[in-house]
Amino acid sequence: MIDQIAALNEKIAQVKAVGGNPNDLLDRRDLLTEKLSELIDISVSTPLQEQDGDFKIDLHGKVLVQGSRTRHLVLVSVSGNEGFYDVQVEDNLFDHVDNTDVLLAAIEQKAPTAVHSVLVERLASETNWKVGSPGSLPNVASPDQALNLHGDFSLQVSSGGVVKTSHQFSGGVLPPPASNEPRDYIFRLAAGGFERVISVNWNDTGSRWEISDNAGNALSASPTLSLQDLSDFINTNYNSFNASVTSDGRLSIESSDKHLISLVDIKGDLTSQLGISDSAKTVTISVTEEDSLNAIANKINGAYMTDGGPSSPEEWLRASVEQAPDGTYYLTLESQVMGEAQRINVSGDESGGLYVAHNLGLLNSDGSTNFMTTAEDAFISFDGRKYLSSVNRFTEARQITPSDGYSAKNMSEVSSGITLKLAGTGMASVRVEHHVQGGKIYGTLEARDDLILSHLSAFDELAYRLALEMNALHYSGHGMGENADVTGTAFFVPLPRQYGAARSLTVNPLLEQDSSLIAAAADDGEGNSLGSGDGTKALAMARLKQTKVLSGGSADFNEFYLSFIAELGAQGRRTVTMAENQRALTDQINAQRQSVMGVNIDEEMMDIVKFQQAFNAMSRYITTIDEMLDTIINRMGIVGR
Amino acid sequence: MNRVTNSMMNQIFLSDMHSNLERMLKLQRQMSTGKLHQKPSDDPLAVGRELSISTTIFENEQYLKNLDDAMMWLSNTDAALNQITDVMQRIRELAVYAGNGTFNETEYAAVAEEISQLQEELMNTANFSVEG
Repeated sequence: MIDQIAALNEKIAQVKAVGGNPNDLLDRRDLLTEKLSELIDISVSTPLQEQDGDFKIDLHGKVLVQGSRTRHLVLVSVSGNEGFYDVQVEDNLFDHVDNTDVLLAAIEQKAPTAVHSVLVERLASETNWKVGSPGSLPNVASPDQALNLHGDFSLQVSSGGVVKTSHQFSGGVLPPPASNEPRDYIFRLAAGGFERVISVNWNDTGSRWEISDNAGNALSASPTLSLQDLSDFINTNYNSFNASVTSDGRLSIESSDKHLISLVDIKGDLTSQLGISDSAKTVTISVTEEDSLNAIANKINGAYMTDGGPSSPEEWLRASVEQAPDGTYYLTLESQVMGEAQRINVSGDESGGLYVAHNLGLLNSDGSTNFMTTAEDAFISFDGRKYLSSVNRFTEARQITPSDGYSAKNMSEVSSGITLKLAGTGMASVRVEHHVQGGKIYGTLEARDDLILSHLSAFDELAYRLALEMNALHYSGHGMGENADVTGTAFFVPLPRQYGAARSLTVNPLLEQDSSLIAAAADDGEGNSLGSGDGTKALAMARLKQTKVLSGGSADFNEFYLSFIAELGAQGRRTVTMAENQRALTDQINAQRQSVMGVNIDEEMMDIVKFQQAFNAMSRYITTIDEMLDTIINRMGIVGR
Repeated sequence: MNRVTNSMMNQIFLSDMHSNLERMLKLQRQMSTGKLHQKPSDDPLAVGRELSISTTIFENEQYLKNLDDAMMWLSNTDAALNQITDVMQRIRELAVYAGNGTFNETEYAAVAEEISQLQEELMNTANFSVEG
């Protein structure tokens, strides 16, 4: 169409050059221009307005047609937008992302024009934390075998922020202990894949505190343990931490590579005294001699949703019994939600005894954790703002800000209308520019990039939360009949991440084969089912419908769906109203145009009558002149004849 | 004064006609489907309310069904218990009847036979299941 207009321009110029008046060609050009303006939001300037006398069409300052020269609209494939295309103006082509090895971006039409710089420092591992060690129980040939273990251990799923700041201490933290006061404190300091067990012991002979860790580092501290001692110990021995004592007397520990720090007391309460220990709900599991691996797994699974226990999938894990390659069985713990924030913290009993936790293969004898998989969050900096994300494809991520104590708990939109997909580490820049900002083509692009995708993600959220919450409850329940001692069965096939969740929501095929696995019964706290007639868990699952679990805990399933439909309706309604208004506007303008260029039959009739009369008058005039001449020529001067 | 031309009149006539036709189409649609709203955009607020009400209706229907099931289960249990009472009554009668010591061997055997029959019946009743 652009070419046609340009060709017409050329012809018109030729005709005009020889003094012609190419009205039909001008009309055709008008018609084509009108059609083009339906597709895109062009502006037109005619030869009268332009100094160079060319007919010009431009699109937000980018000339499409000038005289006989043209620029075309080109479809440019957008990497990262699932084979979709962007419409751009020839000679002004650009890539949304300059370095696709680092980053892909899907950009919505509503994203404001800008150039963003993105630095990807680390990719998300997209894994769940998992604790356990195959072959750690060499004598266990059956998951139902009694283990002859007795004691407690406690579990917690949590981690803190990238910076931990303690309470204020004016003097020292620990004075020299009196004879009845504890002399040993042990806590675990962890961030990302790094983990150290740090002990603070009272040295009687030297009359001072000694700090040491499981890697052999040691430091002699003062008789009254001060924050500076702890800070020095951390700074000297660990590269990945920056510790300091602030001027108002607080200990601040920062993870220099922006991992989430986790601090847990194993023995004593040093980190809780300091106010830097992880605050999540801790569950203590008591093991007795006759407990088998299955019974312990049941106790752990059954702790979900108990009074004072963990109450959301983020706060708990799933215990299962797996078989090692050598045929023995062992216990595994896996967090239910992907990401670094769901670190599993295993600690011993109240007095710091690690006997049970160690014998189950969860901890090493020095107190460090036996992780089978660790999880890392992606760390990016977007226009200088720092974000963590547990997935590599996101529109919202957790921003690291001082306002929430660097805990990076709150999701916020990274940049309006931009979905990032991380592919590698490094620098990249994202360029947002919309060449077409109106017309039919824009409408189609908007529907494709903005509306449909946002609706898809609403469905994804619905499916993801449903599967997550249902599974969390279902893991904690017991089956019936021969499966009465089975916990930890998934109801839906677990969905690792939210993106694409709606597409893959399926009921666990195991349940379809054997309905007695459906876990309606709750645990009695001892690893046994409350009985096949118990429906506590079934009720809890049914109650999910009224629980506010969606949109960050602000809507239940009905409300979420309702607000989704209402928004869809309102959007549709608004669009229809806008279209009606615009149509009225164009109708009005069209009427004005027609008022100038249109033809009125009555007016033409009048004109015909007018011109007829004028013609008649002229005829009369000519006849009169004729008669006059006739009279003059033929009848005058005949006297002399 | 605005100049009025025939093409203006045509256009206005056409657009008015179309908007009227659109209204008629909508009304006919409502008539043929028997529903006031086809799409959420017809009236977002009302559709929202309709959805929540229809969910409530659905839930209430399910509750009614659950109630029916529970009633049936209870009445079946009741019937079974009645039956068990009857059977127990009969066993008691037999026991009293046989307890006076005037019976001979064959009569005892007959009573024992009947009691074991009744025991079978008791077992069947106790194992009675409602809808699988």
